[in-house]
Amino acid sequence: MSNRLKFYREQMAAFEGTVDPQKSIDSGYYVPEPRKSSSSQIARIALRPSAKHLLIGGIGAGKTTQLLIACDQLNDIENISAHYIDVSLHTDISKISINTLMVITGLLLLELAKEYSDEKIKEYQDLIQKEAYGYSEYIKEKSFIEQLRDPLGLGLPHEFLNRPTQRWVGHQGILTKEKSNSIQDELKQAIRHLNDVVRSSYGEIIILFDGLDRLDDASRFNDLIKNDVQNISLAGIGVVLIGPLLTLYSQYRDIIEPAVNHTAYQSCFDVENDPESHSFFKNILNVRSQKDFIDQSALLSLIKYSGGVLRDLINLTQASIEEAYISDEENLKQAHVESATDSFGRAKLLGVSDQDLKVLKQVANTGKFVPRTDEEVRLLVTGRILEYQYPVKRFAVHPTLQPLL
Amino acid sequence: MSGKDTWLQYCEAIHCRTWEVVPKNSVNKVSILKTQILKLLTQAHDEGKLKTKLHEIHDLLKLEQSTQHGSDVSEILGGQRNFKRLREIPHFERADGCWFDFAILIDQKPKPAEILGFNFEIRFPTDLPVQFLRFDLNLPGHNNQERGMRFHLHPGSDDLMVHSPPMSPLEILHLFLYGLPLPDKLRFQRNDVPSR
Amino acid sequence: MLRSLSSTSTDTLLQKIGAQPDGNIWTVLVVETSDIDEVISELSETISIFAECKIKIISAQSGASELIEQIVQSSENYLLLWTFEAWNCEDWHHLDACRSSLSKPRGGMLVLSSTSAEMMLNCAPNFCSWVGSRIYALAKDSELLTDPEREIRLSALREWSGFSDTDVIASAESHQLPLTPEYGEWLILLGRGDLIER
Repeated sequence: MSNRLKFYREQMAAFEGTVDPQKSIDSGYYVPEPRKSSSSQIARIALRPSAKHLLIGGIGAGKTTQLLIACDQLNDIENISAHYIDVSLHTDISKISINTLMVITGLLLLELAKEYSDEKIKEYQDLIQKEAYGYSEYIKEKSFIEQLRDPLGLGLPHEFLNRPTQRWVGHQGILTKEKSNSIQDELKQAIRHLNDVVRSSYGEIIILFDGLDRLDDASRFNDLIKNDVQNISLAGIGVVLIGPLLTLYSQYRDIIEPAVNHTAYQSCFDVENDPESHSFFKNILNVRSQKDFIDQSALLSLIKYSGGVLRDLINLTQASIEEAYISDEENLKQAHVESATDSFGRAKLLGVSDQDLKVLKQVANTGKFVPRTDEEVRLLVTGRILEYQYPVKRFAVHPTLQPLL
Repeated sequence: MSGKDTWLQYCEAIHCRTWEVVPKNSVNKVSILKTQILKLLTQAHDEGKLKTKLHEIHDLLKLEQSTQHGSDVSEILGGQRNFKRLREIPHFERADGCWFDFAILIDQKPKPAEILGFNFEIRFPTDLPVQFLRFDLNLPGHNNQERGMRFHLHPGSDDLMVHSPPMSPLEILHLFLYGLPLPDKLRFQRNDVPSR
Repeated sequence: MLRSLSSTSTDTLLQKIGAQPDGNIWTVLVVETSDIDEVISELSETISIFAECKIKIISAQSGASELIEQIVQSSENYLLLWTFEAWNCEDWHHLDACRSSLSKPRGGMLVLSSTSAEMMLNCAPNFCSWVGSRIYALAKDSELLTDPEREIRLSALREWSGFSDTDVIASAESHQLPLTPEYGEWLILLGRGDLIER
């Protein structure tokens, strides 16, 4: 492979925004956040292992990374066994129903309990796997004639009936269909029993559920909290889960937050007003890039235009490196960042209505924003408006959009 | 039989020997060939062989199509027409100063598409005894074909032509980029040109 | 709407794809609805040259579930996805929710109309977060000769030969045109490629 191409590919590979965060951590790219990170807040669950913790934040804010770091920290503690699960890899989140998290928990516990031979475990294994993946069975049903002659099912002499028919009936598992089956009590018992069994070998089980932030339905998330999370916790298992940002702006916020023991917020980093956040972002760029590859002015531009959103920093940097390659430069300059930033901002502007534009301009001018309508919440969810919690709570239009308004 | 007649027979024999062994000049589609050329030029640039910048490659590598009157003929153009061999006219340039341009005519009506003709010319720094090499594929039916010279090489002269085994556009481009390195020291030095 | 996006030529797009390292990098290309078929046809043949891997073209016509299933089942390293025009917001939500399944060794590209792109931006924010700035409007036909460029070539041919355009066409029509590539090009530049002798 050519030297120039090889060099640029190596630079870009260090800034992959879609990479599994675990890979980034394993590659040595993780930089601890300033002040109290969400992961350290989550790790407090160790103090009360069967507690329920919720982590909410915008897209690309670093929630999964914090969850993974917390998982590692928890596993360093004696007598605790933490397990990270991306729910979206097990089921279609857009159609998720109650009992899904309980079933996934059951499957995890079965895996942990596989060394044990216990009749009850076998029984629960059958229950959980059927509930998870579905099953087929022969069903005897009345023939058509039988239905005509004996509509009330009173039973007629044999000579008046045709032979009954049998047919295979498939039942979909909860991981593949929308509605759950009503076997909740059995599931609860199964989880409780399995947890009791594995506790002796593994200690306190804590499950960290990722992926639910992609739910666009706050009511569904509320159902999962009320049902699944409560039941898993009651079985003595700790739960940490990532929730959708729109929860904060929905009618369910006041129901969901009290239903968990602790809520952590992974907000954007205010790189404009918080020097520690600015240093944090600078360190991220330095740890991933080759020395002197990124010009100082380009580095400052990348931090500024990321808006304090971690994934945007990574993506913008990779796109800027691509621009540098196409421009035949030897290093990353501000002009390349500006080109990538312009493209980024224009993409964010796509699909913005006239009313949205008015709101964006108002936020840009005043810094004030009180999301009331679905459209206004969507501006937050889509990252067109960013929320900062520290040093002061404020809202701002994404910096890549500002020049285009 | 005169010596000239014998020469014409030889031309025919050379033509048969070279043309029948080599596959026909076909290409799947213009867009595929053009993309392969773009890839080759990009790769040569990344390897430091081609001085022409990436965005300059776009400006030089162009397409022209003629689809009226029931035809579907295209041309892949690499650099501007440069009959006078003037350096000011946009061209591709190697890192060592050699420079080249080309034009390829393709008929897309038959499947696969057929290369109708092309010119590929590479020019050398002035101190070299040979100033340029040009590979031509004339259009079908040209009288060169009778001499087995539809595909031929001009060794530094527009008037002199030499038989050559047919090469495809990609093969010629590879030759231009990788197969004609300038020697550090010339074997034969012209008296009227200062040594390199 | 297309005008407000960053534009890219096919050549630049291919060079960018060629420069990308192994990794799940996604691009969105926004084109005029009437050009989608032609663009897909061209990209299906040319992306593999720069991506240096097999690509698979998958239509999203049957909806999100089917698309996701096909993506998960595909073994190719790079995917070219299209036919999103019938999708509604719920389809995009669905794809967004299953973003973790859209993981390929070299990523892929979505080819969309501007209406579909707008819907994607509003209804699939998680996927769009992955795409980042790689949403481009295709500057189609940017590789074709412009009128001034054509005229420069024609001028060079006229000066070299001493003939006019009319002379060349008349010679071609009477089968007396020299059959060198220069004259073949001349005919093509005049839009008379049909007069090239076969």
